[in-house]
Amino acid sequence: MWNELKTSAKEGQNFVLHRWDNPLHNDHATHQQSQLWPSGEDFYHPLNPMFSFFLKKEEHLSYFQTILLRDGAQGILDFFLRFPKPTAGCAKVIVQKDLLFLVPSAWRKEIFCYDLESGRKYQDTGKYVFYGLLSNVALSWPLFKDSVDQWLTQFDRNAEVTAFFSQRSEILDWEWREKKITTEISAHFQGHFKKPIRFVLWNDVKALSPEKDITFVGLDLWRSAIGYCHAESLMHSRSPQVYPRGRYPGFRGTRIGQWPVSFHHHLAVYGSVSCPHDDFQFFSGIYTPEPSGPPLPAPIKPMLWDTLRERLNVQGLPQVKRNF
Amino acid sequence: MMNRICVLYSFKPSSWVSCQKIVENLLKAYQLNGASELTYISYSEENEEYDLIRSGQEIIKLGPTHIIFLDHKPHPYMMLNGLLPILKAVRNLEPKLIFHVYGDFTLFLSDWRKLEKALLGYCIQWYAASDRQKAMLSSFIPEDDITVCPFPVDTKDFFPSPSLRKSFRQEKKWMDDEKIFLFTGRLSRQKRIHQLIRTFAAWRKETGAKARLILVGDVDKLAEPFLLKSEWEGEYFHRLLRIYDELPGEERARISFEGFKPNRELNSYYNAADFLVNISVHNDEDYGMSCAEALATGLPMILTNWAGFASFRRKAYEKEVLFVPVRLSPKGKLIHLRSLYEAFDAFYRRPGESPRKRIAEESLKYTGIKSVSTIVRKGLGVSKRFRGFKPLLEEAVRLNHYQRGNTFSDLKKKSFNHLYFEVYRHYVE
Repeated sequence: MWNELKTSAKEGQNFVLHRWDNPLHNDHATHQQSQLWPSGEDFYHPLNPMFSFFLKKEEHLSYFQTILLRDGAQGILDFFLRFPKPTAGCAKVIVQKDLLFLVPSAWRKEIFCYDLESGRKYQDTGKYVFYGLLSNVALSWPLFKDSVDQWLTQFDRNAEVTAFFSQRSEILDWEWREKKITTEISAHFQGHFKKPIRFVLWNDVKALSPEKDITFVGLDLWRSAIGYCHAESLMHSRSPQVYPRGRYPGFRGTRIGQWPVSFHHHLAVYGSVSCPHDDFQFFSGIYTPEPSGPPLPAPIKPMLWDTLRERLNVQGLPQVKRNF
Repeated sequence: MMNRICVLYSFKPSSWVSCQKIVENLLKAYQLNGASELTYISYSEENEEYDLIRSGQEIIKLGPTHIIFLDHKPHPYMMLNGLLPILKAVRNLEPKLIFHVYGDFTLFLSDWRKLEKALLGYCIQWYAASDRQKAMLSSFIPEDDITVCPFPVDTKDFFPSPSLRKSFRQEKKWMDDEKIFLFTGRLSRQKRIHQLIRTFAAWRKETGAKARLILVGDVDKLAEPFLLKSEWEGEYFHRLLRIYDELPGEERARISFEGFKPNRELNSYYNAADFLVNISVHNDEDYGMSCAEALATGLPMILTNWAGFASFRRKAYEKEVLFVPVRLSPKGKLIHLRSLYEAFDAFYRRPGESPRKRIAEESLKYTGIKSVSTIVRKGLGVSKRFRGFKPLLEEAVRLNHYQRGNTFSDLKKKSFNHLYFEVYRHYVE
């Protein structure tokens, strides 16, 4: 299985290598990807990482032999709502393993899963760099607002804290400004930590990456915005500890191999995957997207996040059953 | 009379690792000059207009005798174009200007062209980091205006230490009779890591040498822009991985990728290694900070005879630096890999230990902070007035404009153009 996957990856087309001259390239999708900067930065890997919003038509699924979907839960759900069944000759698709419950049953026999791993066992260093691309919609989500303070209690109040918070009105919004700090979230954070938080830009976060004594904490805890995060990957490749994002305890799969991303971390790949939940069925019952239409509408998102909150274990927070 | 000197640099460390140390150590060299009053002004890419205005006001208030640009970014144009006329009008001052030029000078020729008029008539000291960089810069700047001032090394950071060598080799489990060839820096296409690995593996396989190649640094995506070759993040990494995976197991076991290490850990590597090897043909190789640092620990070296590297073979230790020839061709810079192979062999078979203490002492006569301090002190007395750039700069700026930034490329042939040969011929012997 692993050798077959590797061969497909090596022999097939690669989205990033032909970034600007492949038939899937379009300005709108590229702009959507840019809204996820810096988490969504392009990078080359033989397993062909890309975002689902470049795949607009069924024939696009056969253009590549392997596709590693970098999306978070929103993108993954949107993708499978548009393509609820694999097509003949379609690529081997690899999704983030902790989002398997969003994959339709029709895909499960064929799908692979990935996880980003480094050789280091996670250890809290007591010195934090918080990183977040925050949307107004997510900040308004009650489960987030009401649980931030509780989640923060696991961090030492006397710690030295640096934070990169970049706010957009919507995660795939047109407007974003790197320097715009979310007042509300910053207040929550500063309210917990005694020392003044140092609010920085992305270049400053990168400059901290050689330091062994910091813990990088990405705030996309429930993996809703992004599965493969470039910022998180950079930290894995360097020295900092990387705070683990939400884990799905129901995931089952056979680890079939691993492929380096840098000298210090790799993609672990799983086959023969399964899990006890099928949340795709619920969402497909309440929403049918247009094949080339816009991503998930606003009312669906909080329901998705409630689902993520029920399914994923996030350190420092209890799982909360959704009420639908 | 006491000099009043404004030193402009970014207070935040540069993202370019070697530049972090360069700025820090140059500052130390200036600070050793007791006859000057230094004022430090923040000048960084993150400065917004208001920050620039504030810094400008501070400089005007001070009324400096000298303004020094220590950093490679941002370009002095942002500050000087507005500041110099105001200093003249308001304070009737024409401070002496000092520019430490880095390897990326040729990437900002348009900015220098824009600044030229404001600079005319000022006493300017241009510092090149090496002899060949001076020769290259003299394509654009009158040669008499340029002085060689190497980027200094601080002996508190890099020094020979037999005890450190022993302890680090034990930690790394390198045998006493193993020869360690070390590379430090970005693992980059222009630094020819792919050729370094292949040549080392071929040599080691054929000779059975008890040797290791240790590569310390992160992979980058700089590619070869003058040849219109770009790379995505991860692309060169996977290329190196493929080359490594294709080697026989015994050879793979002898090559180690250590990844990125901060500056403060490099002294251990230099001391524990037996030789530094660097076959870079990077266009920006004005100097070679890793070479200067390695020499300060007494490490013998194998280097390409390219650009700034050529300055590191001094008479006092010329047998400790072996050069690998480089030739320019339209399609690229060609390294004589057979010479690299022979250099590995020559150093490996050399009997006895290297005279590390002597190498370190001799090299610091050139790159030590004290020695550089003497150069910069003399430079404060610059009296030659700037009469303008040479005509080649204008030609380069026009090409830059019409070829949308590809100043040194033949867009049709995807090769170097005539300007590249005109300018970079100085980087080869």
